[in-house]
Amino acid sequence: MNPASLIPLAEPIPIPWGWFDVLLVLTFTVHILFMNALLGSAAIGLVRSLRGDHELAHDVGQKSPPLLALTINMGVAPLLFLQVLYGHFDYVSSVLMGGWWLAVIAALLFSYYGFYTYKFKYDALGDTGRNALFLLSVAGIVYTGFMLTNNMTLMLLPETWTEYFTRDGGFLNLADPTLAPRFLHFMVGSLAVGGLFIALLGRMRKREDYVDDGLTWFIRATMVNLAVGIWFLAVLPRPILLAFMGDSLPATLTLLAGLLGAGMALWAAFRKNPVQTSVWAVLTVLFMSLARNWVRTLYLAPWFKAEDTLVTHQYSSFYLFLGFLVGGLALVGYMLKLYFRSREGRA
Amino acid sequence: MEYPIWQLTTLGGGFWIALIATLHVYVAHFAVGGGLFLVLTERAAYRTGNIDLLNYAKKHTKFFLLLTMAFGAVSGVAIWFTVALLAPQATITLIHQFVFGWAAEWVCFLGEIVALIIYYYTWETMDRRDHMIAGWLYFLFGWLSLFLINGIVGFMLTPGDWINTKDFWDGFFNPTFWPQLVFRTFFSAVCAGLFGFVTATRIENEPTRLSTVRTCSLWTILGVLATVASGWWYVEALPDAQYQLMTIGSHRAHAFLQWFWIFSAVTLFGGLILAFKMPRATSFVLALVVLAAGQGLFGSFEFLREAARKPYLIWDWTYSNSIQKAMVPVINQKGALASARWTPPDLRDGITDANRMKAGDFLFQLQCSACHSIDGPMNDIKKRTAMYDADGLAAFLTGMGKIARYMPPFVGNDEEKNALATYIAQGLNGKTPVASAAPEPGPFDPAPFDADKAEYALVAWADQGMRFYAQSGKWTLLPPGSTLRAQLVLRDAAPELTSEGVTLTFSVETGFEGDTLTGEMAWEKDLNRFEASIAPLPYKNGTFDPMPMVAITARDDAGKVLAETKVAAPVSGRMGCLSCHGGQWARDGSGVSDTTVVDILEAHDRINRTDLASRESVACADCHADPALNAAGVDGVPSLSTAIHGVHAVFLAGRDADGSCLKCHPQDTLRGRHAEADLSCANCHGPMEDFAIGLLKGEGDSPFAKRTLPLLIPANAANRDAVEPRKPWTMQPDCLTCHQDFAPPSSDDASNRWTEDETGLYSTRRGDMDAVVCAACHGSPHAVYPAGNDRDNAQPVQYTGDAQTLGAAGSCTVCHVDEMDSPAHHSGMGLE
Repeated sequence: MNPASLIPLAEPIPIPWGWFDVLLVLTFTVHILFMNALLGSAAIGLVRSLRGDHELAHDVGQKSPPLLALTINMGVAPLLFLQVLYGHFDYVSSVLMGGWWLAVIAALLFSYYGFYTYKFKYDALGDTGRNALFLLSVAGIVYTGFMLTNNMTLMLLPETWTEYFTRDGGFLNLADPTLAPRFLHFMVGSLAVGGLFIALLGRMRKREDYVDDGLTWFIRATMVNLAVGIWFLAVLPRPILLAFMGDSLPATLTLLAGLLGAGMALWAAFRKNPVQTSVWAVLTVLFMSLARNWVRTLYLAPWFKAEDTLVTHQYSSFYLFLGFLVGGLALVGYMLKLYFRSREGRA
Repeated sequence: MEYPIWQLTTLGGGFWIALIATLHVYVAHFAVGGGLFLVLTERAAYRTGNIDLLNYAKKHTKFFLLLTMAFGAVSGVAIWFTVALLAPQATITLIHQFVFGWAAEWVCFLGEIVALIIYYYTWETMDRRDHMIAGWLYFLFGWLSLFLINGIVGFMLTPGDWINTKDFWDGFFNPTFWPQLVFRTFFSAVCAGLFGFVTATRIENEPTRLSTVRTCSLWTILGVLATVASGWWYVEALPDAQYQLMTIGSHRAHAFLQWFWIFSAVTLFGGLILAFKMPRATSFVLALVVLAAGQGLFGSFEFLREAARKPYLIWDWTYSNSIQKAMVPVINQKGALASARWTPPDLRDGITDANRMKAGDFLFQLQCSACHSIDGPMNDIKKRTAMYDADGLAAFLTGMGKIARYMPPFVGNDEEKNALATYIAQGLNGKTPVASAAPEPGPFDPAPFDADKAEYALVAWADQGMRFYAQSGKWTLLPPGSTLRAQLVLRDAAPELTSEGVTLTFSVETGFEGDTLTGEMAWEKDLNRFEASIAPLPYKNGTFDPMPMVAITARDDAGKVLAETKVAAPVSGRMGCLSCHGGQWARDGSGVSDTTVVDILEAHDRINRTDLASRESVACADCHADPALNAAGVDGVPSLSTAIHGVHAVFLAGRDADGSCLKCHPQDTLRGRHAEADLSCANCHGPMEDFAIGLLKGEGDSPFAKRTLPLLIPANAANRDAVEPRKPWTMQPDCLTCHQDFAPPSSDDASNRWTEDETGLYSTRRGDMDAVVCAACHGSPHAVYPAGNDRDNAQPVQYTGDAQTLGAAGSCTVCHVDEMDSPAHHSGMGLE
């Protein structure tokens, strides 16, 4: 069977694809930063907690529910824009995963209320209870991430979709050699950014031990992630690997920019400067998100090109969105201003 | 057709979406109204300086945060994931058409989160004015979310001009946008009151508790009243078709509407009761009860809205099973298996005996599973189809979506339709077709006739070649009852019909049950024949037998036997209702059982809003005119024949007579010469569709005819206009249409030219001499000589020794003393 015959028809889009690609990469970057901060800080806190030191977990645990709220919110946008351009791939892989995919909802709800319970019932829980609850809540987030990695890779591989016909029930993309390094790349990245989040928290609270610890986590995790990244790169299909090795100039430059950003972030981290590290880390994540976008484009190239999608040129609804975006962000900015003013008052 | 199917059985049929969506929308509306409630409560606390009220507002914020931000947000994402899994095609359309609507809503979602986090965390630290600004902004973002989602949800029910323009704004500001926005806004206020009860009834300080609970009561009561009022506006704003479905057209929607009113009343009443002073524990429990009633209120509304949208996900664009309406003709031509992108490889080359069940299974998943589970809580397919055998279900699929509009049409070719029907009826329900082949008629003792000595010849026939009946304790469609007819001929050079000084008696074969099995026949002077009404049943010694023989004896006044004969008076209760309406034969392979009848009456009730199933007994002819019973019927109600054939033709379209007429009528209805020549019902009466169209056109412009005619396309005639209108029972095929001038047939299609009235009917019509009735020599209708069995041929065999028309092949001597050489009864007669 020719896998191309399984790919659904693409529906027309209102404005040219490039807009969606830009929105997709930008919102994904923000999403992944929130996710990293949430998961990484919680995981580091958990490691400490399991060793008997609950203070860090308690502190980052206060931030987990709002971070999860923002992670989910910022996940909605890239998933939406992804579906506009690649929905006919992503909906297929979602259905192929079936129950595995829908279980993400249960995992998220569990983690959400787990984090809230940890936060509100911290004292009542006791050491074992709070460790177990925090562990399970973190596990829910890890599950969600693993399913997302599965979905986002399965959608790129129409040649594996025929497995649907030979199995009962949903399946994962476990045979894909890129699955493990790709997932680990996100997870180890989370530890790095989570460490950075702790360092920033320490800087705000004048807790130098948090700054030191956090940056140490950032440095070590980033170095491990370089190795994981090389592993990921090495197992990519050869044409895609070569694209990042010079065959495609924009793809290669994107990766190099990401690597440069990571190098700069490490340099700033060695110099114990969490703010500067953060700036470089955000840029690194942005470039890596862009590199990830290249991976998708290259994977799908034999099957589909976003630029071939029919455009209806209905710009008016785009302006509606821009209006909401500008107005919404202005009001969010205003509320943050009120918030920081209230903190100044308290200080 | 484009996407793989998430294969579900027990938890299929939209279970996940129903579960998640009903909970989410309740909480989501609370998130809007509750936001306003919070900030107003905060303001009231500041103005009154009530510290208890302020503490309540803080606690309620936490409850609000935990419910709306966690559950509300995740369940909102869950709806998205779920619809994408269950209906990817429709979801893709919604995403592409409204991407920037969704994106704008995402911005509002972000604003809500930021506002709520700040509002919750800064109760103690933020300036009061700033804190209230955050609260107001939360409400603003929440309501704008509602504004945006309202446009897209409304689009699905009433897409308005979008269908033609595909313009974002036409779809967004659709015909129900504003009424629905007002309706949902008021409902949000109700939710604020209902969820407010939960925390307000926990306030320890009694005066504050009482005043806060009363505030919640006010929100609830005024909210429900405004919701109902704006709901009325919303319903009135619906376009005709959706309005019909929501109000009168759909039995299903009607049930949800009833629940809507019940829950409205309970919510209103509960809100009122809570305003009274009562112990804290009691009011808290009551608050939970009222909260549940509110969920019922809103759940029933959302179900009602979805019921009004049936059979579509996007009205007039995407069917409930994600098949696009515009694609239906293409798929019907190409076949569903060939059209679906994700058809399993072993089904792509077509349906075989080996893969028929698998094909049915796939087609079920493709076309049914969006709304039907297998053994699950949502529209269990096994329960809904338990009554059908495979062929009956195939017929249902043919008519699906035409009479009951809430199902989409079956899409695909006949072979696929049959495979799906077989999978459901046999594969899932294990139902095998009920055997209904007629038994072979048994032997009988012929009546004597001595051609040399007999003074008289007695000829007889039944007015119907097979009297069918359908009657049970619960209903009477048509009772048993045949008319026996006879003529007594004085054999002579110039034979005469004899009526004076003679008595004709009849006696139904021993062993048969029924009424009026013996008696005397009456002379009908104007009609030139003897007649008797008899009512035998098709049971001989308790065993099904549809061919009772009736012995008729003519005597003179002295009691001397002048002539004897025997004639078959066929009768059958083998109406095939049970193939689709379930149940078993009432008795030994015949008769309609009460189980079948109840299903028929329930279907009638569903379609026509009647209450027949709940009545003790029902006679169809009480409302439906029926010339066969001399019943006048009720004005505006179609005749019984029109109603039955009109409805059933929708389901039995595209079939030959065996697959349509004889699915309901007894299969041995046609037994005479025409059957022997392999003709079928349709050769004389026309195919089912044409037959029904003729009857419907005969009803004039009755509502039933207007509604049903567009559903039928004639199979024989070029179009509906070309079908001649007719009245049932009296306007029937005319033999002379094919047998022009009594000659051998010039055509095998007698349909669409009807007798003007009952005087033209074969069973009553007389020859050129206005003496002998056609049926006297040719036999009962549907069993004309030579028929295929001895019982039908009893008279020709008695009088001529052969199964042939009386008078044929030199047998004029049955009545005439001499052989005749002129065709006096009608032209032809083999004598010219």
